[in-house]
Amino acid sequence: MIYLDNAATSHPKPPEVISAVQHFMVHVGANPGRSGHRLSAQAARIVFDTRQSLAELFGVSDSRQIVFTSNATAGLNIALHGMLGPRDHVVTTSMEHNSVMRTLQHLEQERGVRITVVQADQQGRVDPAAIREALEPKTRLVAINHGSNVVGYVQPIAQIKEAIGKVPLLVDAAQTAGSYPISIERDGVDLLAFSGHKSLLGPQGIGGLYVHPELDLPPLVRGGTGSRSESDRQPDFLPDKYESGTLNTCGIAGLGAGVRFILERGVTTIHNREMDLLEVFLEGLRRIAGVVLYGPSSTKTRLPTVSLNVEGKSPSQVGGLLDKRHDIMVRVGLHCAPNAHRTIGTFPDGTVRFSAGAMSSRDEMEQAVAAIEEIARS
Amino acid sequence: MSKHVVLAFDSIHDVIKAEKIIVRHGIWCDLVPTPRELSSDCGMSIECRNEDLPDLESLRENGALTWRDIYRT
Ligand SMILES: Cc1ncc(COP(=O)(O)O)c(C=O)c1O
Repeated sequence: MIYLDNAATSHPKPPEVISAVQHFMVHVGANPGRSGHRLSAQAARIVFDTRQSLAELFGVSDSRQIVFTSNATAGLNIALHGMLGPRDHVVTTSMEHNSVMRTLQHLEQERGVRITVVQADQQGRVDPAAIREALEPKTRLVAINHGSNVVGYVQPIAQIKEAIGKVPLLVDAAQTAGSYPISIERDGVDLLAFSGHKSLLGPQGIGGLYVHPELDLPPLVRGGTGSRSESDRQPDFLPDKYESGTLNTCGIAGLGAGVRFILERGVTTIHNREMDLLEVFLEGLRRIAGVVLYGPSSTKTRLPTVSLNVEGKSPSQVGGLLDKRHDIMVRVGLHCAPNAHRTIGTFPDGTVRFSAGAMSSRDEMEQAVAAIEEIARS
Repeated sequence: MSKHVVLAFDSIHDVIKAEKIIVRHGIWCDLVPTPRELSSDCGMSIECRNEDLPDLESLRENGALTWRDIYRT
């Protein structure tokens, strides 16, 4: 079986991740920090260590600014609901995922938020100058998908921040966290949402949000935090402010092991290795007649995510053949990003998306090329 | 004179961070349920020996430790 759907969820996970989840389930199991006993303390140490590892990976000096959520979507919802008040203006791009677009549509209806969508070019590239030109006096936020889940292009967030100055920048790092270098403080990022289950190699059901210390946005959910229990008021300090209710400690244990796996090897090393795999894949594909490739053709500033179509066949036909005949798992269709497909000219049918990951091999890329060749010929 | 002090913090994150710093400085400590007298803070606190208080105070002065409250048992 060849798994090339890492942009949806990475698989398989490093053995360390599985051991960490099992260790938590068998030997720890308790509620982190809620109760004063040894196991509760042990669970709290696991949460702390994972937060520290994430801060190291993302270039954040105080790990309290990173809060755990159930996935990137939940983090994006905290950020968008918290930042955008009545009639505020937001600038975003045509490459966004539904987790941003649907939330913004909702805020447009509920709060009269005004949305400007900056158009990317056909390769999915957004021009920082175009973002700056879209700013208005009431622009409260710029929301950018860092790495495209459709064509793999990575937007230059440091340049975008430079272009927008003081306007807060929200980065959707669902695709890039763990597979592309990110330096939150150096690049001037104000808010950053990430998935734990994609390139950070953790289990499903865990993600997070970085919040800049000077931002004061209300939480989306309030409740028990294990702190200030005598008070009816939600704590105003991080991470507790945004972490009501029992955390997914099991997921956090696995995520911690995933992040340490990445830190030991180095995210740049992992990225370069993935670009080598991408090169093998793209070279093979270019030789096949009847394959249409979308997105940037080079391996610069991008992820190992490739969208393509085979002439004369629908994406779902190709996906079905890959699964049933060739034992290759990919994702077909619109990938929760209809505007991105409009941008690259593949709406409404979408594309076949191949996404390699940290555990993919050269041999698997070559087998995928051979399978596409066979499908294109048939 | 009492033998122990209990340090209370805002959040469990701050407790674990402080525990790591205290242990790294070779000072004995133990995590304990927060005594009722300090209940305005989070569920867990750090117990230390009285005799280590001067060292802890100097860690606090240089910003490494951030306890909100202190209780002598
Ligand atoms: C660009 C982008 N943003 C957000 C998400 C949502 O991530 P999650 O499933 O972790 O909420 C995804 C995942 O598909 C994505 O690719």
